[in-house]
Amino acid sequence: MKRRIRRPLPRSEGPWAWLTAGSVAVSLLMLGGLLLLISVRGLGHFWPAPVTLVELEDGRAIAGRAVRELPLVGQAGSERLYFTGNRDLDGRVWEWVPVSTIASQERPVDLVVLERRRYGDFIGRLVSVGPIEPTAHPLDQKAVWSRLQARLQAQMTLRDERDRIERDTLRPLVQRVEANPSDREAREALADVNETLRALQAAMHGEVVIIESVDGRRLEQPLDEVLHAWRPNAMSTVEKMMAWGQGVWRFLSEGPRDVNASGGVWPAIFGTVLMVVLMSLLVTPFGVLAAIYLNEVAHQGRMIHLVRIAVRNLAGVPSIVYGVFGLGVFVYGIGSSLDEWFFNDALPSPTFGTGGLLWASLTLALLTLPVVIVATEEGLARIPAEQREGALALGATRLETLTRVVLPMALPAMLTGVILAIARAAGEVAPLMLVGVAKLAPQVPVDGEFPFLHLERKFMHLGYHIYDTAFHGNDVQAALPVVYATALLLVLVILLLNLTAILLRHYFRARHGVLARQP
Amino acid sequence: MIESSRLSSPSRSLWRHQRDRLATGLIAAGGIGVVLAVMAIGAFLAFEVLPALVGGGLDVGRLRDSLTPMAWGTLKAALWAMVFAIPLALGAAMHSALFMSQRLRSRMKPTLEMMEALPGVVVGFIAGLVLAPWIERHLAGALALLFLLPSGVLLAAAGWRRLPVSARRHMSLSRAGLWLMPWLALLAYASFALAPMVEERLFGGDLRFWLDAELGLDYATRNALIVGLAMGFAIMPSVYALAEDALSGVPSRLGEGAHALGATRWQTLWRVVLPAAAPGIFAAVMIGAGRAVGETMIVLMASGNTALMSLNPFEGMRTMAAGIAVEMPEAVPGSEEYLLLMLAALLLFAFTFLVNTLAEVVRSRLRRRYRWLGGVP
Repeated sequence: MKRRIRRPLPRSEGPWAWLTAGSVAVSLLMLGGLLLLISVRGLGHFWPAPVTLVELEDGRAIAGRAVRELPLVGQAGSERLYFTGNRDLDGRVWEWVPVSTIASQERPVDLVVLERRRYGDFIGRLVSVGPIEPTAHPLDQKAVWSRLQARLQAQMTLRDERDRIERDTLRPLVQRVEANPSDREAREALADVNETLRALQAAMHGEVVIIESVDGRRLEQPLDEVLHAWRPNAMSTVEKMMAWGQGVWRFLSEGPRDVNASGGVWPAIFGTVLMVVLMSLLVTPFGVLAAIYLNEVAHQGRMIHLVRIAVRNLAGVPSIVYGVFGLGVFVYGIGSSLDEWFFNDALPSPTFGTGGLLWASLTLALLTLPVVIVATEEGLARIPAEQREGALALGATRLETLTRVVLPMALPAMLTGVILAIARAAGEVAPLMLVGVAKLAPQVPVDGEFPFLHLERKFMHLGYHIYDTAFHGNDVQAALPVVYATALLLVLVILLLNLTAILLRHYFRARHGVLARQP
Repeated sequence: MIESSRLSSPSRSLWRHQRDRLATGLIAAGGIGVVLAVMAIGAFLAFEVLPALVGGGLDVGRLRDSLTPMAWGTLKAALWAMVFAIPLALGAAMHSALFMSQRLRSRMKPTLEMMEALPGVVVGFIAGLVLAPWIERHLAGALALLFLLPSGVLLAAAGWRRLPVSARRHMSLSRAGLWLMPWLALLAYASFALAPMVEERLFGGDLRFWLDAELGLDYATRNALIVGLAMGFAIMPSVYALAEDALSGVPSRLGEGAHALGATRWQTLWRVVLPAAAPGIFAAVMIGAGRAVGETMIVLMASGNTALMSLNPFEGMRTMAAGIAVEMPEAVPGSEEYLLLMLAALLLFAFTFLVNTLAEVVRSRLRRRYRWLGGVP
């Protein structure tokens, strides 16, 4: 009884207080789960997963990566999904196998995986490398493997050589000839270069590698279509980690293949960054200007109060509405007029009268304008009035007060606003679908041709890449790893930007808090 | 400074003032221009649509036929999103405003800000391609979670009271948001592991068949429930942030008074703080609704985009925003379809703008009331 009187803790709060704690826990769990899922699946894609050789009870053999396992519908047991590759042999790349029918499974070290330009991956064994010649005795696997490595290396050198010649010699020559068709010297040089290129092509084309699937079907694979080869079961952990790093690098630096279902996302990264940079160049001066007007110049009356509320509310208007505005005003309105005035000879095919980089950047700039205005205004409002009054009392004009005192102090707030705007713009997809994003852009918007930056071109975007690959591909299951990796990349970029903004704001709030408290 | 005083001849002073006037004028012009450009959105949509609407360029019957399912879908999606988001957001806001320590709160806010920054296309991808098929297979477990999680929390609370004092101090209510996480994760796992057995016993092995046979509910893989969950996830952080602002902005003397009179923290919250902050909470919910109505990518990817009109939470829908995103690029400018989509955009704009303005007005009134309540002159 006495114990009860001495209360060790505050009185119990009842069930509702605990339920609120529960909602915190559930939200954090959901966020953590989502981030964990994306990171694990996105990064796991690049890990060279082991390949299993499975013998079924009916004598069939398949080789592939186990992807997942599901319980069978309506009966006991489960079935496992294998990625078996070899689309040219089987016509499909997936195989569902009931686990109960598996007789044996092992991981032989001699299984190779070839990443190919056409038909996707091949999983099987190497027979021989080189021009087709009936070898009397089959080479042992190790020798074939090291020969394949050497040949692939040689192929890569040739490919680089070809790309270099095309980029550095062929293109300038073609331009010279196009500009001046009577330039004989250039024509002769062009013929020479074409000869060299043809020789290189021929050297690349000749070679084949003979491969065999685990059930014994042979295939002659032209070597120039093989991008990469590895033997996952024979790799040590260190080798796998190196392969993982290379995989990540190739994902970031290469273009997409196979209707975006494999390969890298370099053009999408480039397009996203370029668009965001253009957008921030547009939004920063205008946003800051509007904020200065609202906070420093305008008479603080009822009207400005209403305008401020309206600007704030525009941040809440759905992004798709901005997309409609961009389509109607920029693309169909301004773009069509520009076409009529300046690009009349190209009509009826539109130049600026269709979605493109410029219109997308402008639309997103409009979309993020309220973010910059609100953040800058907040920064301006935080600056104590004494600072301005002091400057004015010392004889500075309003402009001088603004540029020498107020703006330097508000700089961090502007920066925060711009970073938040960039983070918002990088993740926005819906308006881009109306004003200029492309599933697959043949040309990057920046190249060596005058005027170097092609504002009218369509571009690729990471967010749209996710949507398009995930929903409009032929084989969603096969594209899923790429989608996960792209999503992870996008999320990382955006979280990093937001984190920077949060830290900046936190730091400068603390600093300005000190300022404001000074008597 | 010394330099400038040496240079301040009359002509220079004149130049300085002229320059000042010029720059001020330019800033004013630029500022007004930008503000007008931003406001032009509403005007553009209205000019594009209203003449056709008034002049009879749009057939009213067709208008009704194509717009009604989209409006219905929009409201349905928003409703389900709110069903998921509001308990989570308001609960989290109450907990972090009233129960959490200052330090924990200052960590919690940026975390949820991060959650808000997650792009819709990523959330939509996870919801549409990963979560939807998974929930289709584990429907019983997922639905059971709706009851299991709250009761699990209450169970934890009951268990907590049996703990020794030192453990109770260590696992205090203010930190419950963190230490409940593993317990709830375990519970979720158990729910999905045990659901097939329950399904076997109560629903004849497959809940989806049972729903169809007994209640006549069709089940689509991408349905309103998935959209609600994903969109609830997306709008929850902004509702949380606004509600938390409103709750923690309540002058502390009110809460302290209640504590002094012997109220527990929950009683203080429920009887004193919540009524004071109610308009702010209302504004937060309104802004959340505005978000939910306009969200495009999540709905596009997680809803199946089928123009159905039903109350069934297991069927898909098509919303105005998703409809615009899909059909607008193909619509010929000036055609009837184009005008219809423009009208949808105008409706979205008007709705969100009105809702946000209302919320903003409520919020600014509330701030004034707090100043008055707090006794700040």
